[in-house]
Amino acid sequence: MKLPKITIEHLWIILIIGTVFGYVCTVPVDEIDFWHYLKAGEFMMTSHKFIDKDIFSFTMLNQSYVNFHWASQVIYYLLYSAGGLYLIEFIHALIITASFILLFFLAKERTENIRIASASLFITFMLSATNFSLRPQSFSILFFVLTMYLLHKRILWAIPLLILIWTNVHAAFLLGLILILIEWVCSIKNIKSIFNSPFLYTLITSFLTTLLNPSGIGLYKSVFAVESVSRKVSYITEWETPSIHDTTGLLFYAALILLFVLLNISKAKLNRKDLLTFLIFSFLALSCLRSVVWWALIMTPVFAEVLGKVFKKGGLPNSGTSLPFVNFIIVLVFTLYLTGCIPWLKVNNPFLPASKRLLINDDTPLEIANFIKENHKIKNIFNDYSWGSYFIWALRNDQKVFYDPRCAIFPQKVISDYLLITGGDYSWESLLKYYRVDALALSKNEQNELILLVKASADWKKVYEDKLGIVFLKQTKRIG
Amino acid sequence: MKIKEFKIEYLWAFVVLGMCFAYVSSMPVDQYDFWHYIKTGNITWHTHKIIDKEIFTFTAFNKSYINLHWASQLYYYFFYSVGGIPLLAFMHALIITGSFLLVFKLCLDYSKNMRIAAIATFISIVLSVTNFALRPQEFSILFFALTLFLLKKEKYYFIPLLFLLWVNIHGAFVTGLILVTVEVVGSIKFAKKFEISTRLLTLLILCFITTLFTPWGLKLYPAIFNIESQNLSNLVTEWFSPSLHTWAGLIFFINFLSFFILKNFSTKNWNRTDILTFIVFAVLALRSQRAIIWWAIATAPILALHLNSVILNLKIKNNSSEENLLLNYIFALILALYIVFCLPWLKPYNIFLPKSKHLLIALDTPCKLADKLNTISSAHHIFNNFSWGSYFMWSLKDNQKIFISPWLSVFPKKTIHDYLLISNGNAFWEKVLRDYDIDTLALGKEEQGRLLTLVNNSPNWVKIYEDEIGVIFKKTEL
Repeated sequence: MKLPKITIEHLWIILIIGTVFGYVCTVPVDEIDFWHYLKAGEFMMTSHKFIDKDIFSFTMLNQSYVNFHWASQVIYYLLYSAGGLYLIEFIHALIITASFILLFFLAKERTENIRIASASLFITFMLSATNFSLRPQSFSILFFVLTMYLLHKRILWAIPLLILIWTNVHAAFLLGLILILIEWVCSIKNIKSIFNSPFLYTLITSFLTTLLNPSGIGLYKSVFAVESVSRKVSYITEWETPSIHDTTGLLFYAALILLFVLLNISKAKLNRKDLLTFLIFSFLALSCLRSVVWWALIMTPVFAEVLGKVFKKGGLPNSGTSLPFVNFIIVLVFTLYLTGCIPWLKVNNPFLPASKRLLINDDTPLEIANFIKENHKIKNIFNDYSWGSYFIWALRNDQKVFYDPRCAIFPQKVISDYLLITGGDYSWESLLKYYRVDALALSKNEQNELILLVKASADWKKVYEDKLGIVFLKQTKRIG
Repeated sequence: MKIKEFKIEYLWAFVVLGMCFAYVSSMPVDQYDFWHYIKTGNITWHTHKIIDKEIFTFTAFNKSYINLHWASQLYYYFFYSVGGIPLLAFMHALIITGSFLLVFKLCLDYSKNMRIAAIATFISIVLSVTNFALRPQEFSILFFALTLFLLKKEKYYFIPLLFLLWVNIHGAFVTGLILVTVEVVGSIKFAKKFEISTRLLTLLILCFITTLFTPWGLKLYPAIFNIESQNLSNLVTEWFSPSLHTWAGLIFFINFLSFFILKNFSTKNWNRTDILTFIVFAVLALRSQRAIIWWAIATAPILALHLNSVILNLKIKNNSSEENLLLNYIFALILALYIVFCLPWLKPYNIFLPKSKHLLIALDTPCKLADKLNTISSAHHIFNNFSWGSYFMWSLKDNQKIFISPWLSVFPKKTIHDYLLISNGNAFWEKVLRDYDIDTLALGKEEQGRLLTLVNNSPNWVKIYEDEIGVIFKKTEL
């Protein structure tokens, strides 16, 4: 049997794409922003009713809201029913990896050099790695790159169909419209070409398909409302301007500066489309940390082109004597390692750190939720915000949370009251009474001030404690 | 100057620098970060000893610290004695305008175009405007601009002398060292062998050595780095990274991204020093908003150079040959008149200034609160609004100590945490106040609203004074 001829260039791309796959496979499901999607999907599939009213919190019970992610909720539940969390995590890794494969083809078209395309892909990976947690945004990553690819290949007819699906899966479909808008603007050469451009018709059709969602045009109002509310909630750092003091922000600014330096060294000029794309997505990324991933994805081909010009100037390193057999062995070993990273097998992978072998991260309040679920006295729970999603999934249907990561659906008063109680404000007891809270599930890391107060209060009794948090039950006062 | 020489280009420069002077001159002195310098200058002047222990607060009493600004404190006290706040405000306006005059000159040298130089200087001023408060940083602004100017003119021999003065006036002398380092690194060549400018390297070494000529020597450096980390608490927002959601941050990021546009359309190459300047000062500015001013000044000449190149490429014609020069003079005269009426002594009569700018001292300075506190003989441990710390340090009696002042680096983390706990109306507020043996509260209505509500309803405190900005409470006798 002849061994496949694997050159060093193939090795580069296999290693990069494989690293992406392996990394995403081994990210445990976090407690913050996944579980409530699964619960919503379960509800819709079992009851055959669309969720457009809140049924999980007691502070917003029965209040209407726009459920942007209904299709992703259904997908998650179907996958969960078919193969549990293992299957969801695996598909998630495939989605992200597929995005990077498409991105590789786009980068390679700009540079013709596999190594440089791989290097630009690596930069993208480093910038976007913190956005690879399991949540509907991963569908947007795939659709975003797919839109880039379809626009580049001028397969315009497929884009409205993509946008149709995207609109019902995740709110970042707006970015797809922005991509088409940029193409249209850059295709304008004179007044006549404004209306002759096929991109204009793609844009109009795509916009019209975005109205094919349960909320119609109301979707847009809600999308912008989500953004403005989320920005005001200061502890959700992904909605803040990237800071050089945190890892993603530091990498983002380093990438911006690197691009500047590369442009200087290569003496390359960005064409009109690349410049407009750069400016728009830079502004988006500067406006919030969670948009850095879109900047990274859209700039990948630009980085590839500029890096290509830098190395063309200085001369590309000679690939030297290729050792296909050695390359084959490396690929084999790497593939074996990646196989050991898939969710079903990673728990036994000795080369992974302990935290990465877990399916669910160890900040998830599993035991706390189990305890609360077994306690039939508990109905209205004042919870740590980051546990809201898991509680929605794990608790009984008659048990409701105070607040959860769907923060945009909560009125400002609820959010303010949550912060006041959590911060140990003087009004904490009266607020808990006002909301008729009968149990507290408090995080030792995030709600320490409140824990001290509750411990000192005669109205609350500690009924459970573990390394993550404490559960207190309200004491009913006996009369007479 | 003959009428025919005062072209519109000169008017551009005059307008930019004149408005800078007028703006700074008409700024009232704020309460945050100035008054304690006059007080410490006063004590130093009369005792002939540099203050190196905290003496104004009871939470950090007698704690040693590095007094970076001792020379500026003496300066402030001296000129305050001579001419009061108006003289200090006037000198401050001259210092800031002088700094940007240097920036303008550099921009002119780079671009050879007065209008472009004026635009670049204007952008630099707009970026820096949040840093124009009357405080020792003004000297750093001047020295930074002067260092940059001297470096570009290659008049190196003055620079170490400048550092000798700078290091005893304000902690931002470090940015001057960074400027020199950038020049040194920019001079490195790798062509056939490693080459570096020995003149610049010698300059850097000399500048570093002169920075040791302070009462603290090398200990100065850890103190400066410590200040930055301590100030990343919730109280001092100027130490936070810039955000696109604030005006200052938005303008900074627009300016930052504009360099990419200029790079794309300019025909001028970037030399190594310019690239390094861009990178290093961008990183500093991204670390904290208060460093945006160094970015603004250091990159202004580069901005002017490339802006000029872009304008030339666009072939925008300059139609100055048919201008009415007399009109230029009239306009300049009117502007000059306006500027004169922005001087601290005359600004109360300037009808074109908003009323808040007629004042010498900002409206939210707790003057009346301080006067009232001075009459309370039993007020020894005062829990104060953080913003008022500086003014209270200046105006209260020696035996009246406050809880917290702007000099955050001297306070333990627990004190800052407790300040926030009490100010935000935490349920433990009374216990914490008792722990610190506080007898008087001077609370800001805007900043400490929740605490005010609690204190008003508490039987342990009685209100003894109230005005538009704050309230004073005294502990009730048990």
